[in-house]
Parts: sequence; structure tokens; C-alpha cells
Amino acid sequence: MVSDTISRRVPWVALALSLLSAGVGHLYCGRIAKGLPLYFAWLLVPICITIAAMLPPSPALFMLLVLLPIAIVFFVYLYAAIDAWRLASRIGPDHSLRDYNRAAIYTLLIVVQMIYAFGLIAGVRAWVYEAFRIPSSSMSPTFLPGDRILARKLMPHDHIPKRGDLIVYNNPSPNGATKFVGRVVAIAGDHLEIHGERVLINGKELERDPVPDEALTFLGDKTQGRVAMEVNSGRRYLVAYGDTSDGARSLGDFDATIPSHQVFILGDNRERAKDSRHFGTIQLADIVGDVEYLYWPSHTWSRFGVANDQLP
Amino acid sequence: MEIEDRELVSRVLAGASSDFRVIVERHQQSVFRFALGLVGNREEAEDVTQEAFLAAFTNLAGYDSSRAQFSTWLFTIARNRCFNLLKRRRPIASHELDSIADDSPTDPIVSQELSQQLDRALAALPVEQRSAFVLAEIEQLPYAEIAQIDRTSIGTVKSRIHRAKQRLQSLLKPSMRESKW
Amino acid sequence: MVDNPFDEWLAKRRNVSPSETLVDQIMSRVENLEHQRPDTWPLRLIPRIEQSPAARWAVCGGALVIGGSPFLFLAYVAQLFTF
Repeated sequence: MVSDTISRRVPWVALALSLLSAGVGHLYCGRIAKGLPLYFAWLLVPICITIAAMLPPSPALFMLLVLLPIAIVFFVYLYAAIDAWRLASRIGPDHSLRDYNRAAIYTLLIVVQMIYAFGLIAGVRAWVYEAFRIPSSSMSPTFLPGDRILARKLMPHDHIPKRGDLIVYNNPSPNGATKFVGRVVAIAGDHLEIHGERVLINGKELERDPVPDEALTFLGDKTQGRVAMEVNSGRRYLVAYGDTSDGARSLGDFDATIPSHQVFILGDNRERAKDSRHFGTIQLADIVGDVEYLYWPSHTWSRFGVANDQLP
Repeated sequence: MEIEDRELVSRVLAGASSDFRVIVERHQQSVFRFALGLVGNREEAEDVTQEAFLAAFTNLAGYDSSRAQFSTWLFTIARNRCFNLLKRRRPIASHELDSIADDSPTDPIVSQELSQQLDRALAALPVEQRSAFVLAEIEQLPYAEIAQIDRTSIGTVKSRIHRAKQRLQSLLKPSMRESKW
Repeated sequence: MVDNPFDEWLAKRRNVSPSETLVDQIMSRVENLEHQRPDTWPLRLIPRIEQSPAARWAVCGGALVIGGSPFLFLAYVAQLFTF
């Protein structure tokens, strides 16, 4: 309702309110129809990211449903601030106060938006996608130190990891980082043998195809040792072995059957990774999520995209 | 010397709300006269005056002395209150109008009758004309201030006042009186 | 005066006054308002801040820091920077 009271609109107050919370500056200027969409723009980010998590990953999807909404919300924030300032300057002393023109309402809206913006971001991290930075070369050549990856946590209830999956899991040993990234090599019921560099699943040795050196230029000098394309149940991925430079922790032979509700994890850099050979199999419950995107590669942007998707 | 409105406003804002009484005393008559001219009866005009002063008090910090005189700001508030009231009760019935002529028993009969007719004619004018006319002829404000209160141009204010005057003065011509009333 | 009934009428309208109790009625309502309106203090704060450009910048800067913090949090969550 339009009240009959005239009050001045102060531009810097409109600017400050809009900077605190997009849209509130417009409410202050009496433009609720424009203010509310600006106010709820933040909702776009979690909604789009959740939709992205439910669709098959692709670089286009990532740009459209993750980067674009964040960019939109950011520009909406800047636009709202400038527009609120200009609106208040234009209205000047001639504003008819509305019944929502109250300091208590602005305060409430700002507090609510703070809570929901922080809450939604934290909620997305807790249940939809979580970002990680790769600290070591244990997953090279798939991931290099400094790579930023996105792990999908939103999973169907009956999701069971497959051989070849890239996953983030909770570190079962008490020391070191709380979460590791690794590759599922064997799943529940598999009989796994490791003899030196050879890996056998259910008695069949994993095939390794040579990779020409010119296909590995993206690695630069990040990996020592030999790189090969390992094929596990139809899934192809790069592994490195024979990297015996400082810090290598090659272990001897291994022979076990994977218990139910557990998986066996290896790092792709076989001589440097700390994985199931050291701390045993991983409970399914300790799996945090599937690595879906390499959204910020450390070395060259040509590796940007869906994880493990750009094989030579 | 009298304390300026501007000074009183800043005193009230600083917490001396009793100084608001000086403001009310100073402006109540003109706000009431203006409201009476617009709404047509004393009871509602007093209500509007009260509401306008209360609204002015609660929004005192919104008054910008660099943009307008305090009285102009007050008239703007009162005007909006009256317009809202009139919007709600249109169309008005002429018998609801109080005649201010009733208060003046010393007037000659003829003049009193004419005075009542003018009151009715004023009430029958379009609100914008009535507002401009009352501010110009009864409050005797300059055109620029009226334009500020009515939020329009000086030209529009002049033409509204002109049309209102024409209409009212036509009552004074006997030939028109017969045909109209 | 009788010669010009229009001016006479105008003079009469200029002379009307509200009832004598109006000022007291308004002031008693003002005092009531005083007791039940705690949210006028931000309005009183505005003219004080307005007088100082430094205070205005400080308010807007503070608003930017608070209002921009969800973006900082998002950047932190996205591992764009680490503490």
C-alpha cells in the first residue's frame, strides 16, 4: 500500500543497503517488484548446481549451470548497487513511503539473505559438489599438483562404484590429509593380485597400452617414470609407474579378495601414491564422491573439463 | 526573534520532541485551512491535520531543508493524506459539507447564501484545481511552492488556479447563478 | 466588502481555525509515538553520517565487505584461495 508520507531517498543509503543485500536498496526506493527478483538471485546458484549434479557431466553443462549462474549473481549484485544509487538520486525528496519502508524489514531481509547465501553455499559443498585442490603427484598423470577438482556428492542411494572410477574418500589412517583422491581398481568380490608393476583382477592382468611421448606434452616435467594407458573393465585411464625419484614408496606384492561393501583404491602414480596397498580397502561409507570435473587445471587450460575425459 | 523551522527540526531530531509543539502551533492553522478546503468538513480536516503532523514527526529525518521549506513539506504530506481520503469516499454528497458560513452569524443573509454556494462550488471542483486554488488564494503561497506541493509545473498550477477562479466567479454573475443553482 | 462577495468569502475561509484542543491532541499522540517507536533511531543516524563523506564511505565500504562476504565464501569453497 502506498502511504501518504513523503520521505527523502538518500542515494548512499540505497547503495549501502544494496551492497549489504542485493534488492534491499530497491525496496528502500519503493521498487519491490524489481527488488525481490534481485533479492532472490542468489537462489539461482544452488538450484543450477544441483541440476548440474543430476545430469551427465560435460564442459558445456559446467559452464552453463555452474559458472554462468555464479557470474549472473555477481553481476546482479553489482548492477543492483549501481541501480539502487541511481534510483534514489532520481527519486530525491519525493518518495511516498510504503508500508515495507522500515529499518526493521531491511535488517530482517539482510540477515535472512546472509544466512541463506552462506547456508546454501555450505549446503552445496556438503551435499552436492565439493571442490578440492590436489596437493601431491600421487594421481599424476590424471591429476597434477595444483589441479582443482570438483567431486559430486549427490548420488543415488543404490550407487555402487565401478572399476576405474575416480573417487574422493576419507583417509582411514589417522595422519595426513582428511580426504584423498584415488581410483577404484577392484570392487567387492574381486580377487586382486599385485606383483611389482603388474596388477591382476580375478586372475586377468590389466592391459597396458603404450602412450607416445608427444601425446604427453601437457605433463611438462610433472611426471617422471613411464606413462601407459591402463584398461580396466573397459575403462581407460593413464597411469605412471617406475617413478623412483625421491619419495617413492613402492610396495611389494599383494594378494587379496575384496570384502563386500568395500573397494580397493590405487593412485594413478603407482610408485608414489599412498593408497589401499598401505591402509587397506575403503568402506563404501567412506567414499565422499565421484570426481567429475577438473575445473581449474594447474598447468594448461587445455586440460579443463570432465575428469579423465581427455585421453591421448 | 522567532526560531526558524529548520532549527526546531534539528532540535526535535536531537531528542527535544517537546519543541515539536512550537512547530504544530505555528503551522496547524494553515494545514487545517488547506485540509478543510480539500476535504470540505471540519471533522475530517482536523483528522487529516493530526495525521499529517504525526507523519511529519515520525519522518522528520526525511525532511531535507536544502530542498524545500518546512511548510512546503508539511503541505505535501497533508495534500497526500487528503487525496487518499478523497479517493476512498468519492463521489461526495454535498449535504456532507459543512459550510464555514454557519460560523458567521453577523453576515448579511444574502452574503451567507452566496458563501455557502461558493463552498459547494469549491467542493465540486476537480481535486487538483481545488488544491491549487486553496494554496494560492487562501494560503497565498507563491506559484513555485504550489508547483512543488502539487508536484507539477508552474504553468499547470497557473492554469488550474485560473480555471478554478473562473468557475467560482461565474457563480457571482446572476445569469449563471440561475442556470447553475 | 459586501461589494465583492468573492473576496469576502476568501477572507472568511482564511480566518477559519481548528478547534483549540487540536495542538494538545497532536502532542499527546506524538508523546505516545515516542514511547512505541524504537525504529526511528536509524533515521536519526542518517543525517549525522551524511555530514561526513568519510563516514559515508565507511558505511558503504562496510556494507560491501559484509554483503560481498558470500562471494568470498564461495571463492574459498571453490578453492580459489586457501587460508
